[in-house]
Amino acid sequence: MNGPEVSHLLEEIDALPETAARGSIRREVERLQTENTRLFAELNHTVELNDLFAGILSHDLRNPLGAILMSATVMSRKVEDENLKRALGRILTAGSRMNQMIGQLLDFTRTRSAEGLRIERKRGDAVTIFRRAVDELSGGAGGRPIAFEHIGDAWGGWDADRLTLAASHLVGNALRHGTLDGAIGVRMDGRDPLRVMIEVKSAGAIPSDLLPVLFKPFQNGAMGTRRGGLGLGLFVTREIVAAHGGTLEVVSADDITTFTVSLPRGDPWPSSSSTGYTEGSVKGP
Amino acid sequence: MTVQLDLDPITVLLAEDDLEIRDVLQDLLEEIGCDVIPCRTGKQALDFLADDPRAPPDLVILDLMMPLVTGWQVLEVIQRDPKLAKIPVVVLTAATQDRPSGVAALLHKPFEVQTLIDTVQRLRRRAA
Repeated sequence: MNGPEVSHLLEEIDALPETAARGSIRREVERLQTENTRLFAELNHTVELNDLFAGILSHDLRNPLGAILMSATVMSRKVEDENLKRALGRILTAGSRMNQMIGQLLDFTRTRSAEGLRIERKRGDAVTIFRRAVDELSGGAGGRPIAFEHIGDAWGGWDADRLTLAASHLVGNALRHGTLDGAIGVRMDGRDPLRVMIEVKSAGAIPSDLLPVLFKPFQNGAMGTRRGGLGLGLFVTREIVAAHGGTLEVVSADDITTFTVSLPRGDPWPSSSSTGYTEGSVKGP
Repeated sequence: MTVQLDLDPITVLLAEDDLEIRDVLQDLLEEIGCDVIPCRTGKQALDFLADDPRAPPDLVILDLMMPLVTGWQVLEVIQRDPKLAKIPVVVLTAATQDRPSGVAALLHKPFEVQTLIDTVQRLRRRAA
């Protein structure tokens, strides 16, 4: 109950006949209001601590992790011994995974802060952003083709860094959770002057009982796997899309799962028309 | 590691409060022919830029999150001083939301070694 509502309630109590019970009710409402104010201040303080935690996490963990990764990179390019090379490769792989998890935790913490997930829009091409994510992830696709096609103009006001992260999460999610022998398709449609639509499709269905919790944080456990993440990817992706004013939905039926992003271009970046799809296919190694 | 060594040596002021990062970066930069002035605080970097009788550095590599005098403050001094404003600044940060303006490059920690080398070499070629 907010301040004006409490004031209104107190006015109604004051309008009641003057009895001992009325005084007692009034005092109780006032006590609850004081308690409410205290809890609100406590909550604000917790949010501030949350922000502080994010800062400490980013600086104090990323610095030593950076030193480990850079040193391992330098060493791996100089050593000849194959066993040492493999050991250094494991350090680099595990370190990169740790870095991804730190990034996800930071984004998760920011979404809960008072400011929320901030984005900085600059004019850019969403096709370039998604194509880059597909190119980068195709190396880990285990030979599975990732079909990429787009139609129309995908220029708009995007936060390129954040959208790159969202694209990586969506395509990476399709690679991790789609069936191993199934193809993955990314299709972008920029014919609508107001928005760009993006579909990421993979073979395999998501169990119906998981669909309601799919975008909730820390859901890797529910999906029966902890393959290299904390289960924050889809949650963070939806927050990034929402910060752009868009929506992210999933449909899983007939052994096909499709994530659909609707991304408003943001003013003042109108699109131009285009005639047909440009198709491409990126193969894994 | 791809290194191009046929470029003239340059002087790099490296301001980074994290000892391990500073050491790794100093080794890397010296390996590609840079003369490195390591600074462990923002104040040390400002003192060097203000007082050192040597010519200003050719390049500044600056961590944003340093205690007391931050990288942001050092960057502001560099950008406001006509004698220093032309020095390219490569900014390092662990915070993904940092977007300083007017810098030559922005590297988010932890970054790839090759990315730093490519950035420094690109700026060297531009200065040559």
